[in-house]
Amino acid sequence: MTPDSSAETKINLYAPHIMSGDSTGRIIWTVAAAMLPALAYSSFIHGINTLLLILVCAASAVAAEILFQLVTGRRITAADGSAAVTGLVLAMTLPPLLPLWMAAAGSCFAVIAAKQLFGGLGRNLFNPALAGRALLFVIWSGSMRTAWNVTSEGNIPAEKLTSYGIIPQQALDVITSTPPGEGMYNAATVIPWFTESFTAFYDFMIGQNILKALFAGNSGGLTGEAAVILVLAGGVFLLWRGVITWHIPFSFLISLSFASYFFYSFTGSVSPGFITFIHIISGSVIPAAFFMAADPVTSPLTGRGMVIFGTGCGIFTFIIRSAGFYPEAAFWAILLMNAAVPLIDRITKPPVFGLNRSSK
Amino acid sequence: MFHAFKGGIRPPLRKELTGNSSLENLSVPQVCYLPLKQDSGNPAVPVVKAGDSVDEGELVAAGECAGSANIHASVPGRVVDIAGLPTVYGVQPVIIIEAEGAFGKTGKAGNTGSWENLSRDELFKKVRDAGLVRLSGEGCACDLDGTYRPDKKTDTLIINCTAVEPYITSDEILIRTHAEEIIEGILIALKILDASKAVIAVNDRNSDAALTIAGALGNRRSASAITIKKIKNRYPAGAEKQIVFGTLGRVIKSGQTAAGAGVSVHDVATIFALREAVVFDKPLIERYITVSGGMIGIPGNYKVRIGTRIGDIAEECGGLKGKASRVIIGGTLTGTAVTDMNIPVVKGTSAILFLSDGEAYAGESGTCIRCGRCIRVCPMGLMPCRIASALSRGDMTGASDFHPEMCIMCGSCSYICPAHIPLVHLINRFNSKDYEINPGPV
Ligand code: SF4
Ligand code: SF4
Repeated sequence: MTPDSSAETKINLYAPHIMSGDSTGRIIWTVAAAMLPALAYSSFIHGINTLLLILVCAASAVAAEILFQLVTGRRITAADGSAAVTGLVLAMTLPPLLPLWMAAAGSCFAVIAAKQLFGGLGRNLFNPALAGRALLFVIWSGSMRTAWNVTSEGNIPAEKLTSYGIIPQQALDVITSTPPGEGMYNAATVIPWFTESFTAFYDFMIGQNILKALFAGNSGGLTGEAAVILVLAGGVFLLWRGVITWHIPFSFLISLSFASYFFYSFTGSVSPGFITFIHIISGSVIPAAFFMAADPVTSPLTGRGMVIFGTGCGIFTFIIRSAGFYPEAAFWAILLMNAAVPLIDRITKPPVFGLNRSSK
Repeated sequence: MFHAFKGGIRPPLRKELTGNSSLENLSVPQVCYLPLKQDSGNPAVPVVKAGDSVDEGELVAAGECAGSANIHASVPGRVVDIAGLPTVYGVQPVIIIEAEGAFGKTGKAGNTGSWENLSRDELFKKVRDAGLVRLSGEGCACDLDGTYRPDKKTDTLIINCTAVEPYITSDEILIRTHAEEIIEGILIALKILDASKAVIAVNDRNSDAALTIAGALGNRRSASAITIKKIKNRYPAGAEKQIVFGTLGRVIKSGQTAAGAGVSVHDVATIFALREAVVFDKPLIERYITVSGGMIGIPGNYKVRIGTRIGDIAEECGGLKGKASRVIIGGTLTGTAVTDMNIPVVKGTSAILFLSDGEAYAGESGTCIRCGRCIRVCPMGLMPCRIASALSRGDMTGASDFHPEMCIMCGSCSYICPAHIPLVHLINRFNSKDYEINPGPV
């Protein structure tokens, strides 16, 4: 054959001519894969409604994106998986027994208002899933606060507490109507409700059951945190695949640990280390750190920026938990830090190698 | 003391295709095409005209100034025309020589007079007469940078032996087979530069090369000025600013050249040719080229006459196995893709790669997902994504705030970008003022 005809080609011909083989689609689908074990386990624990909830979230997010892109005449980008992942992340943040139509509404809002109206993938300021959750929380806060397996077998703390006897109804309400562990965050609020000493409550909480429940599932939390250990495994998988870097999750967890440890040390708690541990492994902190805060689109560009961002997330999580007694403070902290990303990006430009400051 | 530049990438090196080949000679071309511009200087001025007979190695075009080099006939024969033809540097006048007569110089040892007795100026004159340029221009040939000029003070010579470019193995093989000659070349270069030491920068993964050089150094008494420095196996470790930092810890400031920092950086092939120019008075009429890629019949490293058409080379290297997805002159990260197989090899052509569909990237670019990978890999500490996003908004001032002028065009950012945004292409367009001529997006 003649070489002349063999080289004809119409594609872009500028260098570089090889690429790393990584692609947006691959990154996003890897995130989806990393979430699957935790979500599957959650469906197993919480039942069919949770499985449907996850499917509805993903499907309605994809459908909403396709519809929006059809109506506005944009290119259909569902294949990159970002809408599906937004749906899955949203499902992680919802109570497992939430009515499905609410979930669908949140999903549509997440994709259309929080993502497409900003210009689509890569241009949104806020994490779409968390924005969707925030909307649901504002509109249907009743359901968002109560749609978990409160008294079912799945909820070990509720079961245990009911039989504990010494816990006043007021405190029990708080503890069982929010995800487990949240009740611990505001020791100052909870302690006075106890007629007996705090030690009794502490004794119960430090019992092996609660740890087992939080780590191995059936703790009755949100869909995404049925088994913290599986979520953690997904996060480690993402780190290993290079999809996310250590900066955000580590600075998030470390700053939250420090804030909590120092606060409880100075306020004279029985065991600041233990409460700190509860802070980390409950209240969706692990899924938030690995799957929501580390979302590339809504986090800073540089490593230094990411550390600032993650640290901010950790500190605000603690502040919101302590002051506001909001469940899932981590989600609100991330949204707050999302808003700060443009500013963080501006102050964390990396130093240019060999740039002569005086010449410019 | 281990200085590592920030960023960088590790593309698959694919050196197994040619890494064990020996250096082979390709046959001299029947017709030889010599572009007048083969370096960063002005085009050379022809000293022959159509109809003239030329000898092998005879001067056919004279370098005009410090930045442009002499060009010699790669084959003996008759000048048939000087005509505008496509080359890797665009369409330009090309001296076309039809081969005839005897190849007197091939294989002849020539003058083996001792260079030690010559002065710096005499040595430098030999180099200039031979038309030497940098042989690994990575798509942009450049000249001697003025570093051979006697009035410039250079203290260190760095030999780039990093071999971090995918596919290209000619430098490694030259070291393996000609370590003695390269060391002699380094000693000559040291004398011309009046520099006190030379550092050979070797990839820390390539212990073969380091051992060969160490062995050859051990054999010479006068080689105490030469040391070996292992540097991290990352692209672009061989880029000038990165290699100077990696070997000496010296930072070349913006607006400063390597010579300004007292360093002269050269690649193995150039040093090898420099020795031949000085020891044999041999003009630069041939060079080693890596011919590789999934589509070429017999990949390998070949000695090729300057002016041979790449189509002729492909044919002699076993032809193509099928349709090449891309034909690249130079490396995969910075080279130029060509479609015209009549383009001739020039002095700065280090490789010709015939890539298969699986090897070359061919896909669409999407939107930036702000992953920051381009920033992490940029060896200059730039934010390619911010430059590109400013450019896509048409915000030229915004783009220049991110110092696109500091880009060394290494291509790492485009390589790593998961959205396949042609970042280096956009930056290059900005730096070459292309947006002023052709406004609008990519
Ligand atoms: S911006 Fe320039 S120097 Fe930085 S990685 Fe891209 S091509 Fe290389
Ligand atoms: S590598 Fe590509 S997608 Fe990632 S930040 Fe840079 S330009 Fe954006």
